[in-house]
Amino acid sequence: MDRKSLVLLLSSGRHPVSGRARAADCDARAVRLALDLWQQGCTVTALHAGRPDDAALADYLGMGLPEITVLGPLDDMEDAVPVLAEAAAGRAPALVLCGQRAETGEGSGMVPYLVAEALGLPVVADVAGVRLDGPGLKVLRAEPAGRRRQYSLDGGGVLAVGAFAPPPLPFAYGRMRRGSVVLQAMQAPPDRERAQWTLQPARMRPNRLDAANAGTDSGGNQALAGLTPDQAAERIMQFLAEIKVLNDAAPERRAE
Amino acid sequence: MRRRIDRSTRPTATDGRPRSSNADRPAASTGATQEEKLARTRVRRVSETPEEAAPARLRRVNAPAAQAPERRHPRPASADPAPVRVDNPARHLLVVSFLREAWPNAEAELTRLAAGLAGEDGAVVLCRIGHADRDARKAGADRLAVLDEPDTLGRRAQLLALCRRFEPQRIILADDPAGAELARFLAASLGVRPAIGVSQLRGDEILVPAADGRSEYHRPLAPVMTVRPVACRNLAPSRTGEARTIEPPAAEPAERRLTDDGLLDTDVSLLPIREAEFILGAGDGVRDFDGFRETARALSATIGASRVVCDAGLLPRHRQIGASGHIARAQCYIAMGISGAPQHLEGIRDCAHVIAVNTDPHAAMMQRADLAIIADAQQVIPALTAAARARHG
Repeated sequence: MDRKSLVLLLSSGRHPVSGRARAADCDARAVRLALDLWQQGCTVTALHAGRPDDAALADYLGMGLPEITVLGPLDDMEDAVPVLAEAAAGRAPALVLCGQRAETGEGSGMVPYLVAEALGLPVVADVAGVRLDGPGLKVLRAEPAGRRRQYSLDGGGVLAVGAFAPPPLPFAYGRMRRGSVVLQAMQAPPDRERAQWTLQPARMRPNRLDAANAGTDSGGNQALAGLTPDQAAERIMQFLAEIKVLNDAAPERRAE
Repeated sequence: MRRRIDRSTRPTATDGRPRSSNADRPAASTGATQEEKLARTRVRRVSETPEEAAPARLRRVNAPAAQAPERRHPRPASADPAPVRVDNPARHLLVVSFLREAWPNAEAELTRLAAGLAGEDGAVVLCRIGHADRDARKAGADRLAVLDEPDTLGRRAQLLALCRRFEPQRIILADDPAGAELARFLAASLGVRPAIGVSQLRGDEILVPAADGRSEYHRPLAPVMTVRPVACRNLAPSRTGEARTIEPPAAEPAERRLTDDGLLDTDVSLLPIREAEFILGAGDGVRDFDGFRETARALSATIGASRVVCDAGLLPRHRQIGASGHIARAQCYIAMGISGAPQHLEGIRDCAHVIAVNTDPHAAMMQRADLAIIADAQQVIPALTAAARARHG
């Protein structure tokens, strides 16, 4: 297993409003991290399980990938995981980078875990950054409230890149024209379990008010006039204590 | 017709909780008694004819507490009713919750949902990550395990050992990023296919939105599920559980190639706006920006700014909050000398609590605020620094 070989798994994204094919947001961030590592001497293989004429692939090429290998062609009801795992295993990567969650299909976010299981590698999710560190790697994981947890990887791993990784590289038309898409013919088994589910248009369900507005009733709508600055500061501190913001501010008390 | 039925069957808010129509069947009907089922059927039949719907509605307004659907959410009758004991459960359901709840009361709601799925002879095991000051008995947990290992990987190993010991029929978590991530880990380790983001439970069927959000899968109940708040409506009544404490099994992380180095030190005042949980925003009413930065650091708040301040170059552009800047999703936002232009108010739409300090009582921000203080922000800022330092020591 070459420490410097890296496999990048790309999915086809969808714009959340228009539904147009595009580079998936997290995958595009993964491209950036992969190209950073490529500049430090890693070899990068980009894999996509699907169709070679997918419009989203052009977006990834425009971000600077020289080549994308498409495994397939596969249709929507075929299971991409065994195909990705087989193709990745064939390249014996030390590191697999992918987006956290797909923007089409079931979107359960299980691909990194299933590929990791097939390759026998550990997983780090919500990845916000990665750097080479001697023989291993240091991986940053984004946690709530802007915290960053660092993991050390000895040997390989699967990194699921999340939404707090550095923003994607800009698209350049010339890079898109220079890049190429190569088809590697592969067969995929049908996803039998999913075939038994029924897919229906989603019904709009309003968010629960009490869940969305986390206890906005605590303060009430009160206006105070005629306070001295010290009294005003004291009242603000009291309000912050009521809504438990001050307690949460201490980083060690903000467990997961 | 549809609207009319919905309106007529929706009880008036007596305890502040929104109710859905009876078109949304209760999430956990297994927990409902025969009497309650009968009561529900009656209400449904009454509201099907529009002539009868109006009197039904009137009756409900007059005597809301006496009407049938109210009994689905009974208030705890006495101070502490005798807990239900389940000694040799036929099955276990595991609920995993974090110290920080995904939404208010999430842990109790998920426990109730699990109790409905567990049935009379099943036990709900509540597994908390971190010591939380919440009542597991009242939520209806039969067993309680608290994992307080600081190392995230060690904690996961413990949780996995707990799963191997109880072999839960289902594992239920709240659908927030941390919950979904843990669910994926558990599903992968146990070799099952999870349902991430369940939006409704209908008996043996669940509804899970697809990734694009435009369609949803109707599929059978999954062994590992993360549940959205919208699915936690119309839960079965809560019973008091005994919340018997379980020692979490000792376990070592199986994976030796991955180690947790802990949290990195970060300056909270310089976090990106979209990740910040507590923001102190400066507007045109602030003149001393060095003092303002000090206040933010003393409070452990992230620095935000209005458009006017960024246009003037007093704070960098990436600090700007608003539709034309960044969208804040903070728990608390303090607006110092910000009048509240529409584009700025749009940027704090998702903030749960807002405090405003402004000299103009009629400013739009003062209407939006939960706590509005009519004062000069520039004078309050040094006082706030002093108060915060006095508190934190």
